[in-house]
Amino acid sequence: MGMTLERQGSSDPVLRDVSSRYLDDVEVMPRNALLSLQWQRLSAMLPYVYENGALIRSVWESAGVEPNDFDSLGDYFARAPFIDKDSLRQFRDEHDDPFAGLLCKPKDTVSFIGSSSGTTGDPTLFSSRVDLSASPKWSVPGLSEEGPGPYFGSTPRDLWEMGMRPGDQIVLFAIRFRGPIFRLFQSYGLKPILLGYSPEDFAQFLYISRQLRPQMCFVMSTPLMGGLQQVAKQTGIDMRDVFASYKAVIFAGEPLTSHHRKIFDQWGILDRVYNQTAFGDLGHAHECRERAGNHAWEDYGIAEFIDPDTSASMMSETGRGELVVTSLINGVDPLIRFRSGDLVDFDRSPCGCGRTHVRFTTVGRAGDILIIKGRSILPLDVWPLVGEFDECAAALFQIVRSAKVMDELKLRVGYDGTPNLSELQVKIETYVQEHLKVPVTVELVPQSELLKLGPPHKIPRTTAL
Amino acid sequence: MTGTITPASIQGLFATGLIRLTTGSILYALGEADVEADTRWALSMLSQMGARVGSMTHIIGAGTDWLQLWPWESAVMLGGNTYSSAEANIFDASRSEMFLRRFDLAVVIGVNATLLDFLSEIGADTAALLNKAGAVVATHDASERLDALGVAHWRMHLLGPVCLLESPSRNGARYDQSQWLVEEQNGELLVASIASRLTPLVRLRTAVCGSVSVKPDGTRSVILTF
Repeated sequence: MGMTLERQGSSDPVLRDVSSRYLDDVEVMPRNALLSLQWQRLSAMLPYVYENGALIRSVWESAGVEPNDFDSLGDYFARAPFIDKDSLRQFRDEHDDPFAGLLCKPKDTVSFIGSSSGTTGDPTLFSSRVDLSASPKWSVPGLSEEGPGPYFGSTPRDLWEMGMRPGDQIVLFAIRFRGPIFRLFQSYGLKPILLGYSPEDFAQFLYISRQLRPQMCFVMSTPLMGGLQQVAKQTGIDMRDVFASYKAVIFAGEPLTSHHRKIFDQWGILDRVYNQTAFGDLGHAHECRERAGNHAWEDYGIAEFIDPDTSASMMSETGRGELVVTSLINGVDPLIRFRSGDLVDFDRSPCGCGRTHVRFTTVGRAGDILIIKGRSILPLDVWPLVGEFDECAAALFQIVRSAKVMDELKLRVGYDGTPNLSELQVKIETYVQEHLKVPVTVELVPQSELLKLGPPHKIPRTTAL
Repeated sequence: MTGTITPASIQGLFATGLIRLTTGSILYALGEADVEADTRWALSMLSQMGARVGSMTHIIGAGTDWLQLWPWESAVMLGGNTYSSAEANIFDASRSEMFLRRFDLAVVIGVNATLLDFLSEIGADTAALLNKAGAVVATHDASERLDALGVAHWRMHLLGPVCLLESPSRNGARYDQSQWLVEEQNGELLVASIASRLTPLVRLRTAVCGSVSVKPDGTRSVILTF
């Protein structure tokens, strides 16, 4: 069965009024119209996936439901089966299908197979096809045939909100396994500067920033921030000068903590840092200038929030729940009612920026919740405490766990330099224990050892005992 | 912005980045026409390696080297093939292992010592895993171990902006002679651009030791000495 997907986003940003706050009119679509658009797209997507996607057909047949069983979004939220990373892995292993039954197109027509970080296990694959027929130039491949692309496609809206305009330069600390996102930015007239995660590149970043004066850093992360701090310390270069030309620095991989804010304030960019988080493996979600949560672009995918224990859909305007996503525009390997495992604080109320799309802030992984002495602990609770110590300023740590309920909080904490380890261990244990009111044991390891666990823009914050 | 380079105003700029030399990295601007030329050469080499329409190529490399790797990724797609990618570091070795194990790869590019270390650590049958791929392209740090494992392989070396490729028959590395001239001076390899590229290079010292031989048909081949 064929499926025609609408091209998303503004077709030619150069023609867009550069003074407009919005790149695409859909960003401020009235809420009711947005929900109608979702239902219209979902109604086309469900029969398409049921017919072409082996995983969804299998899961739905087992649940005894069919695409035409639903007559509204509410009905879908009430009765559609969930999938999650475990069900993907199970299908993949049982059927020897690396795409885990998600692929709805012939395998040999896929142009690029990207993958998720793999921080919490085997990476999830996401595939795309390039439109060679519509892009005759040799240098053009990398753009999805469905327009700007299902995974990164909405990101230019966020960059526009941050002030990026055609002709601006964007430094990309490239992670190649995600795919050639720079091709999308080029199509919007941005000029990429491609760097990697080697220490030499960190030093070059300082040089390039002062020579070329770029407008955006995409993306800053905890390990990168630590690396830049070291280079700045060694060279004495003024980081305020380094970032003088930047309109925006996107911070990704982990929640922004007080430690990050302190460093960014020292660098003079605190008011130009925007958080990026995953929109449940559908793409990215970024903060707008209001800094009131990350916008999920709901014309690209449905953002649903459920109680992680009961799996009931949460219809309140605000709350804390697990993010569940459904792709509305991805014809290659759409995720349908996918439990992301991300625990988020969501807010459906109107945003000060005028956008009508829901906002959320990731607070951790639902599976990361640890109960100690009846108290719920997330990595986010530990973060600012560990970062208080100079030797551990990068706040690189892991919670070591063997079960959801434990008697004490076991931490593996990365240190820099040559501190007195026994003294430092006692200091951290005492400090964390005082603040979290639970027993704490700390194992200190060199920071470099923890960085090896990263992909490289973040590290797993929980690990098995 | 006065007195500084302004890439936004450079006609035909594809991207800015770094090229890596033994002595350090330097800022480098790649043009759209450069990408076309590099992609064309990569496409011809992929064809020689056995990539066909509908086949799959996995490319391992650092984001740092994307200026040189993008033409390969672009060539895979333009050739009607699928590509996947992974970083060249220890964390991402598991990603490459997953692609090697789960997919029938026509070509895998960038096999390095880090990946071999990882495969050994997890007890994988490295030779079987790599020999499953149609063609293996390795970096020099992995070459000797691959020989010992009986894995026939191409060797790839990024000599600044120039991609040197040596086939499993080991008759010296070739490169795109329509774009570059590689010379030897006092045992050191020098690189010059001979086509009209956005960043012209004139006898760039690479600090890499080697020699260059010229065959009767004018083909130049490079022997690296480490």
